[in-house]
Amino acid sequence: MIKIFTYIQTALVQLVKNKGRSILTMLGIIIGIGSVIFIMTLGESAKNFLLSQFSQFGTNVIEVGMQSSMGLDSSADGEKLTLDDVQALKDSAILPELTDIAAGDIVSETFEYKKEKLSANIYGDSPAVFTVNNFKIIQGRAFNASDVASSAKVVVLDGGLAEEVFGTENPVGQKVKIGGRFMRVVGVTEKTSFGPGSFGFQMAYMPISTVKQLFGEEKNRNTVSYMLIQFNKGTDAVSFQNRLSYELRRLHNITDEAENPFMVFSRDQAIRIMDTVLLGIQGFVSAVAGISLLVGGIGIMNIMLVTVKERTKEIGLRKAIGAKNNTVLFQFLIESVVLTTIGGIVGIALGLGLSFGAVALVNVLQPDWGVAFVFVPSALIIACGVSVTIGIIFGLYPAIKAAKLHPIEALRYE
Amino acid sequence: MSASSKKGLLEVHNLKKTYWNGTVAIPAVRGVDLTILEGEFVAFMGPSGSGKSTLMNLLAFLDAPSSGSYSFSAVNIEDFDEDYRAELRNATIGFVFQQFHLLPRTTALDNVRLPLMYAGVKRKLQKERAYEALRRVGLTDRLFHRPNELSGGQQQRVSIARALVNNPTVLFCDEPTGNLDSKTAEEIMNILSALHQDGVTIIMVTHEPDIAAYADRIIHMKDGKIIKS
Repeated sequence: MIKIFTYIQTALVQLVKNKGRSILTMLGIIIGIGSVIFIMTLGESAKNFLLSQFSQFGTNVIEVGMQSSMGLDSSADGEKLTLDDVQALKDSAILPELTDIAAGDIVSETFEYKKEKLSANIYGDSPAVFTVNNFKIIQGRAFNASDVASSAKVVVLDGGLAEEVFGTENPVGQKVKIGGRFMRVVGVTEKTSFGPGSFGFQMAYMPISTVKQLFGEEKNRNTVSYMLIQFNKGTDAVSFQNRLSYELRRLHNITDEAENPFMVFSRDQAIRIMDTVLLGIQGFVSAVAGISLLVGGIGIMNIMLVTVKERTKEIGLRKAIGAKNNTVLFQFLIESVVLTTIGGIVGIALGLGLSFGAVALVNVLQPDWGVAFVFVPSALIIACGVSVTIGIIFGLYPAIKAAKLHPIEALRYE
Repeated sequence: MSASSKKGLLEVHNLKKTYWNGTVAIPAVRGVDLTILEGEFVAFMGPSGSGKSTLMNLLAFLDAPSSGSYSFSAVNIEDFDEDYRAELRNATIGFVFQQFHLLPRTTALDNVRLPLMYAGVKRKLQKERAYEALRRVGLTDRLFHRPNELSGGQQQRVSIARALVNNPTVLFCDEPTGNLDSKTAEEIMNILSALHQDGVTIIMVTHEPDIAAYADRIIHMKDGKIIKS
């Protein structure tokens, strides 16, 4: 009979008549929906960004390090990863999917060029460091096997370091001082906003032999502090990781897992952990927002009960001139749904605005990161659905009360 | 046209209405027999508590009788449920109340349009008919005024327009001049008289004899019964 449009129009007219009250009532819904949208959008943007960072270095890589590097004395005697291990793993019959290994040491040394002086993390590695990590050379060349064989005094700079020290000048062919020794810059990699384990540090890459000769101790000639093990894409990463751990324990005769000094960590695993953490944060914020929505919903019910009371005479009049029980019921139900839906839409706009602002802020503070704003359509649909549902749930009781009023008694109500 | 040639529009026999206050029965209408003809202007008079308002509510389908029979346009309606009564009110009854009962902060035109909305009349037609009803009560210059911008007499004219907009069979007026000064009351009664001249059946409740005097027939009530007709 009466079209839904008429109900909505009537509801809008009523809400506009009570502007101030309507806005205050909507606040709970606005805050609840807004914070869910904010955290969902921001979470997805963060996830998207971190995933793109990780996959930039290849997700088909397993890192092996020493437990001691997690704070214990790194000079302690005991089992260490060696260059022999690297060869043994490459030759291992139970690791056929293994494609390459980058292995070496990281040393922190001063880096000088003309008047510039700063501290940099120097990776002493084989040329595999570029292929395994997927570092692209944008100027000059990578160091090669003969550079390693001859312990050549050459260095490849990370794009970030090159930009910091050389600005627009071409670094290739320039002499720089690392740890007080002259090196020749042969190449520059693409800028890595954050490499594995080197967040915020300036990075450069040198042949492992050169690093060991100039900065290493004699007894550590054969050791490496990390390995990055690359395997074929499409390999069962968990199985590969298990076989790798087994092979490492076998090579070092470790029988007791508690004494295993090696840390085996896949980047795939890191992504999954990060995903779980983000999901946990999103879940927690959603739960808090849920409470806000519940409180908001009760606020809606409260105000609708007041509205029904205030408009008792109006209800009586409407019934007298022909409104049926259901007509009155729908009128008030739709009024509460319109209230929560507007609240929801404002909340969505607020959440999107805030998360967009947050992403923009990150991009201003860290222009290199290039964080993209990720729009989550499913969250918007869910938010709309939740808003409507709250309107129905908390509007139903007041609407039933209104519908049940007797026309004569309602007209006489003072 | 003589009275005998007109049909009996409303016919009630032994109509009773009893309210219950807990276990205490309060008889408000105690057996009324009455026939009202099409085109008649009838006034109910009586002291408060005489049952005249309750009777009017029963006749206007606002309430269901406890017992007795009531036929409207020769159809028995005493067993109709609430929704059906609402539909019937919308289609056949116009109400004019002492307190006007206009929707606040709503224009005269929209107030008058309201019954048509419940009748499912198309929007454009609603406005045309509401305008026409307001023209009949002489308020075309106040279409977009809200009740608080109108005088008491103007508000009552809006409410008469609202009652007329659905072309009702019967116009029920409950103390239509109760809230108005005597000069305005006269204006309103002149409008009602004119409508009566046009053939509208009017049933009015009042306690003022000079207002009742506008009617063709005055029915006096006391203690839930008709004492003089």
